[in-house]
Amino acid sequence: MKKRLFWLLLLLSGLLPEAWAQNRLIGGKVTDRGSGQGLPGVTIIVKGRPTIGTSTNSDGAYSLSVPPDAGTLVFSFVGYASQELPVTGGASTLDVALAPDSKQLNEVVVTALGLEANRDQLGTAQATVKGPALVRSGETSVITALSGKTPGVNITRTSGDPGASANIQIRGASTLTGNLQPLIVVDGIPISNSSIGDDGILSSNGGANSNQTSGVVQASRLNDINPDDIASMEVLKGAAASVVWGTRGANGVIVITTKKGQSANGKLNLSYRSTVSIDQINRRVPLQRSFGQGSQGLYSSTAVRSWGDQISTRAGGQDNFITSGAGYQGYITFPDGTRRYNLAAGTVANPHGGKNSQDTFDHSQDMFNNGYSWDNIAALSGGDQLSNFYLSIGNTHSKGIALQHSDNDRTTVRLNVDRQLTDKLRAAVTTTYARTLSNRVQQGSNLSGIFLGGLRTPADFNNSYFQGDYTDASGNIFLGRQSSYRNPLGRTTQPGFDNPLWTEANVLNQSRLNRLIGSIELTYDIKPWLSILNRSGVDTYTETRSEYFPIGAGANPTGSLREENIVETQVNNDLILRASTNINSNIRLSGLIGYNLNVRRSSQIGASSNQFINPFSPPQLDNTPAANRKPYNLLSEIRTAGLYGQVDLALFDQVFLSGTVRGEQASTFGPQTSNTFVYPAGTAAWQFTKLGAFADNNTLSFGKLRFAYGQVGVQPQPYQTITYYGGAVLGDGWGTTLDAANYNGGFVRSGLQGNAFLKPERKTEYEAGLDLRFLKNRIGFSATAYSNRTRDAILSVPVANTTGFSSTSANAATISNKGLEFTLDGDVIKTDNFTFNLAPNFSLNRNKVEDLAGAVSVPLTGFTGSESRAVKGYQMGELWGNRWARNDDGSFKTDANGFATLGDQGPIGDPNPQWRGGLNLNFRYKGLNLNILVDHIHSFDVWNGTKGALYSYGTHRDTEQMTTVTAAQAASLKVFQINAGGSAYQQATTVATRYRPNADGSYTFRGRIGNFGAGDVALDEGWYQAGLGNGFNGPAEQFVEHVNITRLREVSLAYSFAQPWVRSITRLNSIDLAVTGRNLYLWTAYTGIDPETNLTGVSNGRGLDYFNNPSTRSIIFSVKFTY
Amino acid sequence: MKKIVTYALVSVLGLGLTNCNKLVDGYDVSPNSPQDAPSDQQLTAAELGLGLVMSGEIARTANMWAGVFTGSDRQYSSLNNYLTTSPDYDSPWSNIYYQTVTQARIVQQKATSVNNKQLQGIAQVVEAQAIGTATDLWGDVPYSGILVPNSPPVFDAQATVYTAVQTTLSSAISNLGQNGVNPGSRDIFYAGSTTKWIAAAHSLKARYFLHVKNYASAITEAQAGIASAAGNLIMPFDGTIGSAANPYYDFLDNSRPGYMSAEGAYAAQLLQSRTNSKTNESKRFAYFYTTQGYYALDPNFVDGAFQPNSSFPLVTYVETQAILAEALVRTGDLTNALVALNNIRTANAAAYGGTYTAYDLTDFAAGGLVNPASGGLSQTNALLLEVLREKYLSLIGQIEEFSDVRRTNNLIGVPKNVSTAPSLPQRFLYPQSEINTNPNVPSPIPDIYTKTPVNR
Repeated sequence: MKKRLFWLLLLLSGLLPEAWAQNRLIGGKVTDRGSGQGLPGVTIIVKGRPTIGTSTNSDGAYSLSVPPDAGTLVFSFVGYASQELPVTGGASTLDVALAPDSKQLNEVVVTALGLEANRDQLGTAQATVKGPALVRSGETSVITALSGKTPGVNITRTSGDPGASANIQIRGASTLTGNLQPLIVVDGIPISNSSIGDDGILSSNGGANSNQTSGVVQASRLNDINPDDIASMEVLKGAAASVVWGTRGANGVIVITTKKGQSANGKLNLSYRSTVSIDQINRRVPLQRSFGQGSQGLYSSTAVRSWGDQISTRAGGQDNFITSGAGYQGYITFPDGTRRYNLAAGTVANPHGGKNSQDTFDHSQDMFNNGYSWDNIAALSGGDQLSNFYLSIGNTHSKGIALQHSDNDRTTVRLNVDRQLTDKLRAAVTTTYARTLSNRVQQGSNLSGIFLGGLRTPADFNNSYFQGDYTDASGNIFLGRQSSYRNPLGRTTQPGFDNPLWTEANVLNQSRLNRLIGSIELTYDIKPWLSILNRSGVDTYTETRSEYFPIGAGANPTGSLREENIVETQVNNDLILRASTNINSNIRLSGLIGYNLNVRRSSQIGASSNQFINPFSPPQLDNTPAANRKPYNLLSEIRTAGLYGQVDLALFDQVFLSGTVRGEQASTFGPQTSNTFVYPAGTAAWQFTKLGAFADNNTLSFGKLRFAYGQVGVQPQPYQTITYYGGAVLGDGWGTTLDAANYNGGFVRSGLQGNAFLKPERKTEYEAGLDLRFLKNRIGFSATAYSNRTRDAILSVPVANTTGFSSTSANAATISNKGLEFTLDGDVIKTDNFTFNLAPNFSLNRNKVEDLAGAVSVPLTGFTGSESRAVKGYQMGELWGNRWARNDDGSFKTDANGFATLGDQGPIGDPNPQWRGGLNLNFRYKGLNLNILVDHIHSFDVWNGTKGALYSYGTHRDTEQMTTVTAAQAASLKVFQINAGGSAYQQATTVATRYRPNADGSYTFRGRIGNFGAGDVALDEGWYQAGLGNGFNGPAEQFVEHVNITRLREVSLAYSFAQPWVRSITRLNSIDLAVTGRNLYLWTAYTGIDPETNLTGVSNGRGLDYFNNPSTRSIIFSVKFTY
Repeated sequence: MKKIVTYALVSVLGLGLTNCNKLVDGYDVSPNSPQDAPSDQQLTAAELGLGLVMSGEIARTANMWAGVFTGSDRQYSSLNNYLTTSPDYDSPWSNIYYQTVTQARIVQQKATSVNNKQLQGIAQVVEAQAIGTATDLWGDVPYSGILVPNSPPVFDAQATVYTAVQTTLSSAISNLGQNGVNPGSRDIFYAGSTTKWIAAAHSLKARYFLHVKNYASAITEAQAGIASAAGNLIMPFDGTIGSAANPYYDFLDNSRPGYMSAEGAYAAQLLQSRTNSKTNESKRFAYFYTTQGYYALDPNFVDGAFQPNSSFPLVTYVETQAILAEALVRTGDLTNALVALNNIRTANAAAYGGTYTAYDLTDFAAGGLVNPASGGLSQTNALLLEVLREKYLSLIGQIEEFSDVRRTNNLIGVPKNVSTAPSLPQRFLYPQSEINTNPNVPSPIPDIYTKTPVNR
């Protein structure tokens, strides 16, 4: 009661500021405890009276008129530990030396609701990444900037294209068909982080269920946030921490707090940072350059593959063009006047045919050059005693490494304002506008994919001549034809595979996005111990997409155009009542009750058309026959309402108990289920070092044990609870399709039975941890163990067709995770001028798909025969595909000639790493700072589908090898028999019957000797191209690679000019220079591109590489001026 | 103070729960998909389902096993050699029960609710043909308890299913003669002609009476059945590849080129061996088979029965006459049987060209034109054999080919594709999808050499 009386008095004192009594003036200087230099901009307020305050000037000096009843002054500044000093006696000078907050002493963190909490009192693990660390990484995307920085968080970029999506997975997969991405909360309001593929808003489920193996990689929408605007990012990993978000919290929550201004007596802080980076491809696919286009060792300009003649034995010089007579097909004239004619095919007598030139081209990178990005941001912040503001304008322009039409341009404007309106009422407004423009380049299993066409191109074909005018044999001229290796003269508009340079020049995939995110937060202090807060937020964006294939593109030879608008809007409101009271000096009780309303609406409207009429028209939907135009529109709206409460109990300032509960209703729940679902959580933290035994222990300065239990959910996807009707499109098991649209339309009741009993998935998690700090907090250590299990995971379950349906969505599966997370953070050396900080982190997760309602596996993404699945008893995303036929002892089942044979399908690899580790090294010498971040991903599998295809095409470097055997060996060495009924070459069974002897009687063939356990066999063109030695015919198993990645992710050297002479000369507070190497080096045994990639974007399926666009490494120069 | 807190908590809680319902209610309904469709549009879908079932994958399997076509590559080599497993039947089973019967039954319910007897009758015929086909191929199948959500039905005895199918068809015939709003072109088979539907229903009744060897009833129904080729129940295709092409064409030349041929097919050999003074089969051969495909002989997807836009027969005048002829022979009325046979020959001449002069009964006497003395057949048996052969060669591509060789204990002598097999296959396997989801599937499931009950 005494305390309340005090608060009441304080309140009154605020109401009657001047009339009460005489104020007195207190002044002094605030300095950095390390350097002793004055700190400008430090906020000083009278404790409990936020309206009475000031801030320090550029030298760190301040003065403040203080009422006589004031007890304590609070000094606070970002990056420093706040300090409270009593105003005792009559002293009028109060100097303060603030200590940097690097050791997270009494560190304030932000909870899932965007409210502040003390880390040392939390019962859950919560990782924090500060804004500067995100910016320092040199990544332009918030998601990839997080890579390697916290344990238990797995970031996988999907491709190296600028602005490409990236997958975030926290503590493994907790759902099978739901979205695996964490909830993103910015300044207390949830925002969209979807990555909508060509499947559209409904099927892709924000990207999770997208099985897009072609087209372009879209962005993750979190990319619209400028990393420079972020003050800190909190990663809430466990169920207990995210329980207030109920069915949206199962994958964890990332809470982003954006920068606020600092009260600085009206002084403006102005900063401007400019960054330039140069990007280049970081790993290339190894290709052979010894053999030309053709087959059976003979050159052929019409061959699809590169099993042709040996280039080094060609005559050299100009090719023998066929300019008339037999074989004359006309010619193509390129813009520089060069002409290309048909070439004679090779024969046994002359394997080179008309080909003389020994020139070869590097198709592993000739579709790329250096990319760059230029990032500029200006920020203005300031405020006074009552209000703060932060205003920033930033632009990031990235040009990808593809030669043309691959870029991303993001402009952001942010204005954050908060103001103490009265002593009781505070308002905070945040707004961001983002505009993102991008051009995206084709990739993947796509005839226009730049890697697919590029890496399959024979080494002796020059892709740089990609477009010209074709003159046919009769002299007719066809303008603007594409020239590709399968269509070298441009004789047809069907290029086979697109020349990647043509694709980059002509195929357009553009996106223009405008986004607004804003929130208004009002806090009213009803009583000193009771306040009410209302926070309303909206996140809305409109994206206009356009995909244009001109006539003659491989993927759409007649040309096609798709135009569409995607709009996603999320409105969220939280009304929170908070109370806090000290029951006695040893027990503090606080709690809150909140009411949450959330509406997510997405819509998509567009049209596609194909078969252009006028080839000279700009992209126009109506430049097509009317029957070839297809409009479409989709809409999805999900509404969720929740009521939550939390009670926190602090005992003796050393035991902290917290209990949370959320009750929830949502439009996606089945109407026959119980109306409301309840999610509870409880945590306990015990600061055992507060016990007497540990008092004044300098070795162990802090120790906390924590336990947490929580339940969260995964919301069903919308519209699963009712049975719908749809247009009748019938198929049989072999590809035949009948569409009622060809019969004037017809509708069927869907085979998907609506499930009125569908309920949210429920994840239960237990977590225990230990936080320790040693040597006066110089070394920090944290360990966490967790175990969770999701029951009632939603799955499409087949039902008997004789009941009138074929499947239903049901709560049927179970999936679990167990894991460990460790972090260590220590100042190894710490002197006045030099600091060496070492911060390793380590995490491991073991996932298990425990039950699939009787099914053995459920396909997630990929191709038939090489896909990512949920397989019972395996980790989520298990690679699944064709395997070798094997005997019981594991040896190959071989055919009559000793070659391995094709077996059945089954699990072939695990894309989940065994463990991950990161190591951050930081050296600071005066103003010079060197930061090094290395991370390691240990032991996981990737399907190298690119290699599997290139083996067949004979362009992979592994197919370059030549082998010579003696005549005796050749007579018995079997080759793979292509076709018993074919030519003599195809019927051959041994090296001696297929190849011609050398002068000395020995035999040389392109390939190598293999052994499948039934004697040596020759692995030659027959095996790689027509046999099982490639990824098309052969088992996917042979192209699954087991790899580790160690990555030098970041090396950053920064120097800050903040000396007095700098200030006096430039009138600037500081000039910061930095040079960063991003992704500088990669140690991995993977034989393709950077294995941190995924064909199907942020989908729940992982580990697939099939002509994915490669990643980059960068050098980044940055300068920042602060006024 | 405590009271205030309690009051505040309770009021917020109350407010919250009330408003929760208001906020989320009604938003569980998809704005993208209808929850219903007009019954005539659903009829189109049900007919499309029936058309696909009768002309799609099970028709191919049935014809490979009846010596009409030949599986030549990959999975079809195996299937040709009677190597088959339960999952092979998931898709046709679904097309019968879900795509056809479910939709047809809903059409009936909707038609009944608005007293549209004609529409109800049409949908009943569609349902009956789908179920009749299912019981023909699988023996015991679910019928009495089907289409109850979440309640997998029992398997009814084959004889019971045939009886129920007859009942459904009788009801259909009755309904078709009553009032109704005609579906017109939404009925893709007959454009709503109730007369044609009634005749087709009688032909189907004849077919299923024949299946159970009730020859007397088969004769009665066949005589009321389809009376001319103009009355044939056929599935039309406009030839659009990938959406409305004849499924045989799609399989042979689009989806799975090279998988199936007619190399060594018994039916092709039989066609080529039948030239006599009254008969020239070259035109019919050219209609069903071609040498312009992937193999020496292929089903004619180039310019014959299986072109992209070739319509596909579901039940025809020729089949009706063949049923009549067979039933009459078997009941001893050779004269009228011969009339029916000659009706087919007349229809053949009209359909294919070639020579089909009418036979006399003397042609079937021992030593007659189609009963060489070496065969040692009685006149009756010679006529029966010719009726069956004629039907076999008329219905090429249809599921009835497989039904007839099984029903007649392979009287015409189709050779086995696998010499070691105990017989021609006698049924299809129950589908894996049903085994996984319906505990009532017979266990162990009968293998493909186990005759269905009516053929025992």
